[in-house]
Amino acid sequence: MNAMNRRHLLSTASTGFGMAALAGLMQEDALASDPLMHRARRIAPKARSVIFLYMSGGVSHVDSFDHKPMLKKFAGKPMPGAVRKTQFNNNGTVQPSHWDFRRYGQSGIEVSDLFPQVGGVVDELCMIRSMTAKFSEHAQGNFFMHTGFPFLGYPSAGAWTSYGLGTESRDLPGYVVLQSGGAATPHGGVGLFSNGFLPAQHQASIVKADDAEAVVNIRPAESPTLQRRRLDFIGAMDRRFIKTTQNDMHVEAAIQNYEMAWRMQSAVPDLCDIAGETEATRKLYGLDDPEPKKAAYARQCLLARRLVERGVRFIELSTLAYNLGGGNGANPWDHHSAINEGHGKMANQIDQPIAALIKDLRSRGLLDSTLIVWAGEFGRTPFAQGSNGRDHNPYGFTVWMAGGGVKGGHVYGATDEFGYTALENPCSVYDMWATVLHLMGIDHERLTHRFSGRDLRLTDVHGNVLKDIIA
Amino acid sequence: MRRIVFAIAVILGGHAVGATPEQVEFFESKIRPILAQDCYECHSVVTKQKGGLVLDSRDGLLAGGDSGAILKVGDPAGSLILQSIKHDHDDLKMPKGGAKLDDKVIADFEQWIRDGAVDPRDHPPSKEEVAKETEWQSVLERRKHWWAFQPISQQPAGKTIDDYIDVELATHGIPAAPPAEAETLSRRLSFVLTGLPPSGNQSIDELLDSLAFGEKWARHFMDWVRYAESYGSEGDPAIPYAYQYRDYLIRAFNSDVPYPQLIKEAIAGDLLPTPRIEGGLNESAIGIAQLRMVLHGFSPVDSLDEMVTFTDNQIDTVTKAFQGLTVSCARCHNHKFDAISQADFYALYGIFTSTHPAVIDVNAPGAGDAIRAELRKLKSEIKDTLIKEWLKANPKSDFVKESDEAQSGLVDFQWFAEGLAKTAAGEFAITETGLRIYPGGYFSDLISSKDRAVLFTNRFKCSEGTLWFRVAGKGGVKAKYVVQNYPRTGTIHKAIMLKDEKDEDFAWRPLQLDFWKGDEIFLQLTTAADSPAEFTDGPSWFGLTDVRIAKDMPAPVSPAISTAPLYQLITAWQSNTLSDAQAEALNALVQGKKLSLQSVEPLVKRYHDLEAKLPAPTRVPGVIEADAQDAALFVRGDHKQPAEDVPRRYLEAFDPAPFHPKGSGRLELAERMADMKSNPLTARVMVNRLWHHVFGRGIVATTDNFGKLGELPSHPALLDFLAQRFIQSGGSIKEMLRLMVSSKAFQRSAQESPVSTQDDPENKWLSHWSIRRLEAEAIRDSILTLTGSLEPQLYGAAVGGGEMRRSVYVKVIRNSLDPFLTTFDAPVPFSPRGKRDSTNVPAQSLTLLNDSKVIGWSRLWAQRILDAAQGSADDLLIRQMFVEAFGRSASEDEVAQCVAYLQTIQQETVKEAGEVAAQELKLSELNRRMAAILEPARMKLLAERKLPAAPANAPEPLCEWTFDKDARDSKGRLDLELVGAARVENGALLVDGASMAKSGSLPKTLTAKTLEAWVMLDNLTQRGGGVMTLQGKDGVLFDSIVFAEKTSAHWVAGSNFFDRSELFEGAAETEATLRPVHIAVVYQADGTISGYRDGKPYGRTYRKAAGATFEADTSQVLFGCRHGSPAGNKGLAGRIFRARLYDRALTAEDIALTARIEFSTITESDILAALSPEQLSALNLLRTDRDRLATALQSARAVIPTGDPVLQAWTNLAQSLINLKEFIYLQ
Repeated sequence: MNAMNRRHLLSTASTGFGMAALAGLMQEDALASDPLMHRARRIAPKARSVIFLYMSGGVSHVDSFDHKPMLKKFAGKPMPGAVRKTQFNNNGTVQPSHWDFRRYGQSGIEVSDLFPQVGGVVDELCMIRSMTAKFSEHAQGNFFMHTGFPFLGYPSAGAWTSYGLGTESRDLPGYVVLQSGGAATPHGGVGLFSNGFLPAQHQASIVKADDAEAVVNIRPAESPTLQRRRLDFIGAMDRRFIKTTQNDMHVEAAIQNYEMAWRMQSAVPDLCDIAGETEATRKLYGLDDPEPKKAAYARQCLLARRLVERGVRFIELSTLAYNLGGGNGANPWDHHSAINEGHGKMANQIDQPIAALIKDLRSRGLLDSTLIVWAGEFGRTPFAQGSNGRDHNPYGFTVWMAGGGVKGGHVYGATDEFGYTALENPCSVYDMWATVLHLMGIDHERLTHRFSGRDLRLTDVHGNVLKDIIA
Repeated sequence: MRRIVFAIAVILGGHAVGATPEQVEFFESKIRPILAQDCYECHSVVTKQKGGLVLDSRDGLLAGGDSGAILKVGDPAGSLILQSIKHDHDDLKMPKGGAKLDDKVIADFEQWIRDGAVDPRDHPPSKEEVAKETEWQSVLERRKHWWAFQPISQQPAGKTIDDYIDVELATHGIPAAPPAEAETLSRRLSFVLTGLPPSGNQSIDELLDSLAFGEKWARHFMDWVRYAESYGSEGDPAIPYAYQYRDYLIRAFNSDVPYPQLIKEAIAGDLLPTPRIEGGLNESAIGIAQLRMVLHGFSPVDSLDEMVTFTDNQIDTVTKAFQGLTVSCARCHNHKFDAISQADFYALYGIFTSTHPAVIDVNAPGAGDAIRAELRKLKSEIKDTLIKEWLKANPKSDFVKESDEAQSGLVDFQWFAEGLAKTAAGEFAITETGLRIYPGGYFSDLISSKDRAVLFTNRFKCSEGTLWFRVAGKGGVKAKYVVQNYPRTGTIHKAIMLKDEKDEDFAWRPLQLDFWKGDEIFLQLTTAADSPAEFTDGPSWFGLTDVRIAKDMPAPVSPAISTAPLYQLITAWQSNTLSDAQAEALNALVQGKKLSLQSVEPLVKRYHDLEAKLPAPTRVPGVIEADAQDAALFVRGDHKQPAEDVPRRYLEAFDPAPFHPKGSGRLELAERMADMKSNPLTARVMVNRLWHHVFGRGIVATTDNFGKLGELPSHPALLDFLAQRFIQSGGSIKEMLRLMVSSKAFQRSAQESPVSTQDDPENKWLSHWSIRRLEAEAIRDSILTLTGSLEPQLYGAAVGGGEMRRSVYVKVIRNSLDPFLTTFDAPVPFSPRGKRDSTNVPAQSLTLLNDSKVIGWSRLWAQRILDAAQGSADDLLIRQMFVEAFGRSASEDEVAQCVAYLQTIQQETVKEAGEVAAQELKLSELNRRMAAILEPARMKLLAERKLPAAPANAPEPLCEWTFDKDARDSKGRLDLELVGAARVENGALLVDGASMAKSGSLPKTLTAKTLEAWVMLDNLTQRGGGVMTLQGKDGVLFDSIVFAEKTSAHWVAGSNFFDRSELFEGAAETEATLRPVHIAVVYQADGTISGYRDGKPYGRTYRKAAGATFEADTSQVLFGCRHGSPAGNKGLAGRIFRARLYDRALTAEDIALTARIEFSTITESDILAALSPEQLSALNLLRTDRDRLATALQSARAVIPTGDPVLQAWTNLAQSLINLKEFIYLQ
């Protein structure tokens, strides 16, 4: 296939990541000729990048962003009304929040003492207190939250975004998942970050923010001099070969890939080298915090900003576990017991770094074009599990967004007075992603890919843009 | 404008005014059904008015919608309706969802508009009218005309593949490329047929007959049925024995099992009246393992939803894989585009839900029967002997009349049993230590605990209350309820676990049911190895005497134990008239050793000897037929809204008649899907799949979808010709492939003509060979072939990607798929995949450039080439490498380029190595100068404290941690990272049982080794904590110095599952809390292990198994944790003062020396305290320099080749050749 069948090539070969190279290769603007972008991007975009602060394990909304005074009133009493099936079936009485709530900012939105610093930037936050999910189990919940489907095999939202918009970076992928300090992949495994049936360049690259080998195989086992020699040798031999193929496009793209890999080998260390950041920035994020997990998360937040600056489309962060009360590596927030201690430590880990990220983006003028999404796979029950834990609750919980074209200091939807079920403006994962895509300038109904007989979407056959939360 | 159009329309398109009957007829027959069936759903007054448009009346049609008028009467090209159905319009492509109408239909619309768009519908229809017009039966009738549903056309005799190809080439005026050169063709044939590079000049027949053929084509089949070895989701548990299915496929392809047979086996292989029995196995039954390659969620609260999801996956797989149809698209409504109804989905759903997930035994019928018969005979001898002995010892007494027994609850259920049957009281099992006499019930071990047993009930609606099993068992047996066929056990899917000795006593054991009230459940007991999820492979047994479900009930009363005189019990046993109560009594006497078993000891021994010869079951994932039922259709796919039952049957487009099956209906379904004569899809879909893998593109490009959203065949007559040949051969895959690769079309070169470039860029007409990238497996297998170490072994449990086995044997674990294969587009197993992607991503380049496995393989290849060289000149070696890698000879020019490259590398390597060596020297000088300050102080302290001097000639370790200030390796190779609360303080590493220190990758691979540490413990009561560990990074394989794991207060060489661990039988530790003790474990390469404490042998040396090898790149060192992470009892509480790792097995003399290096009472901080301020500052300066240098060196060392520079250079060349595009592309 040496003909310039660009449409085909663009949809199957190196787009995204490889887009820039191909553009050069074909002596024209590949982006402009990509039929997909043309079709998908119909709405004026408000955001260029998404930062997905994923709270694996499920944060208790009634202890953080959804204040329910009734819990105090009914403390220790049986949960009124019908209680649905829970995953551990060890339901206790109504459990009041372990934290006090106070009002912050001009909006006066209530946030618990778990998140004082995030509370400090509450006027940037748009809270959706009526989120719902369909699964009360981690792996299915994680897949659902990432892909709109409860099993592996489907593309993650980050992959869809990369597929729809490509990346603005020449040397970095469009979808990056950050990990640090031994943060683990949530239940379900790396399939959560998969391109599914989309072309492979849209899968996430996992960047280990504090690892010498930040990306798998990014570190050559030879000196740069030797590797350059090697690449030159390979290049020379390949040029001989491609002539015999009459300049086959796929072979050509594969050859170009080596140069891209070469560039990535310096781009990734450059991304991770934060020596140039000021003391003030280090302090703001808490990079040198004595609590190592907080420092590790702070590093992810900082790298998220650096990735945004480099034009990466979709960045997902990973929290670190303390192995308390059921909240282990893959599901750090999952406090089926000892929620007091567990949530306390987790919130301490992320509160300052996240607030810092928002402030830093704002002061650099990037917040308006960067959409931050904070969400876990479900919330937690208002009644206790055992004596001092909470079980999974997908029927109503809180997620929030900031920047990127959403209303700041705004609350959308509500749960019942116990925080058990979303009542006002119930919102689905599809609605959330439809809105995110909309803010990125994509009509979620048009972002489709035909696989195995169906035109598939991130939002399946559902999803409504939450117009009320758009600024 | 709109108004004008409207006006004209009224005149021209008015109600039949001036319209001829022919025009009306044309509308009624050609236009109206299309409007009704394809448009009304969104554009009717009784449904939706999308885009403000209704198409159900003339007025609606003429009024247009939000986009304006849609019809320009007489002007098809100017009519929006035509533009949109032709998909010419940018935005409006109708019908929505991508399925374009048939070209014929579009032509009809064109003609209709041109002829005046006569439309007799002068009023909007009523709901009933719309319902009638859009009725499924008429939709179905029309859709059945789709090409793929038509019978296979008869092709004239004597035709060849090339006839069909050439006629199209001629039609399109594209010249065919010349034949490929012999070596190109040889490589092509070899890869296409066997997935391996050519070895010698093998003919097509030889390639087809090679065992590698099956390995290649089985992998394709595995893609079609989403082969996997785990269920995915949280925990990602193994699908038991999944690899047996892969092996089955390899055998099936190699023995060319006819394709219809393969389909039958995939759906109902266990039910075939005459299964294929080969090599002692029921091969046919293995086929159904694919039904178990589903995904399972973790502990679903809504189990019915889970069952719908995984049953949907089964339906999706078989219909796509074998029929090219997307039946699962019809779960919520009739198929949008194809002749598939929603009822069709539930007809199949009823079939698949009428089975239970299981592990089945595929040993040929009768396997072990002779031994079993003999065992039975022995048993009765044992019984007779016992009775004789017992009667002798127990004089005759009067009989006591006993009351009638209560009925067992077993009768309340319908039971399905495999490998066991309900038996009456008095049956018994020969156990390890004696025998168990059973009351009536189900017992799995009446012959042997090696045997399998599966027992379950009919499905029933779960009520509130408690489920009581009266069970006993051992070995990991689960007695459980199964909700909606969900096979896993978890927080809310509970089971009674029968594991230990205590579980071997019969007792009432409860499970609460309230949670699942209203769900459909069944009860299940299986031997541990036969659990369809979370299984334990190994012997186990269970017995069930009673089961009850009761609301608000205390434990059921235990059954009565007879108090009849012993004589009565014995004679009742003798006459087979034992009651349950008597059996319980007799058994209690046996267990209580009140009745002697002495007389049968020789018989029991014979029994066990014979039992050992009993063949083990060959276990395979599968399903078992249960109480079969039709399933209800779920309204809009909502499982909470069941409607009427749908009879089990095949797709109504083929045959709407219900099966009325005896069992689930799988057999009937299999027969219909495998019937190539009456089912036109079966042969077409398969020959197209083969064609795709031979030519790189299917005749129908969408291999998994022959429906309307699929592509049309490029060569329809050729497809039917191939299908016809396939049918004639009875479905011989080998014959079909032989036919394809023997064609001229296959054997053309990749030389593309300018005409083809211009007119046929995708090479649809096959004028030349389409260059394509090799599949992931072929790339990896090619590299392994080059190493010369590719293990030819067939079959068996799956292996890691680092092993030297073909890729088809690499593990397919859903949550951690092999990174190498995945990078090169091996599919994620969740749905059939007839066509893989072939992407170009930097991860591929990075893998081939930097992956340590690839580098290691390159080194093996280079080594092999050099070993065989025997002094040959470099250019000969290079030529040899070209032949091996690319299947062709190298040109002079290429050889020259490689020679030059080798020289460059060698020079550069020497230069770089020299620079590093100089720095190494500098580092050792710095270390020496530091020692010159430290050592005198140390010696002085030793002298003061009257301790022996540290030896000067102690052996050098590979790595050493002194923990004087931090967790760095003083050799600069393997610094540690502190995890959790671990910290370095006062010259020691402090760990608290929940923390540890861990290193990065080992600098070299270790088999023989010595671990050595000076450690002080927080207490002597702790158990199982690891002091120092060498482990694979996944924490599975490990060797460790462990404190008190099996026996309290004793040191032990811990290992994974105690594989290499025995007790040293050294003295109990008493001092380690008072002072640091020195502990060393020496591992010889052959697996011999010795322990040392304070420099002296600790207990005995032993050898239990071969030594474990820890690969450089995938292994690490841990401190304070036995393996993995410090959870449970793996963590150590104490302080480690110093540790050393040696890359060899030290001798007793060595250890005697090293033990003296550090002495308990002197720490680094003691020494520092003894230094003068001048010495301290000098030391600090040196240390700063040393640390800086060590850090720099650490990264330099990582990239500096060690060892033979010649081998290094050739490795580099070898790896570069692997990186050439010619290597991974097939010409």
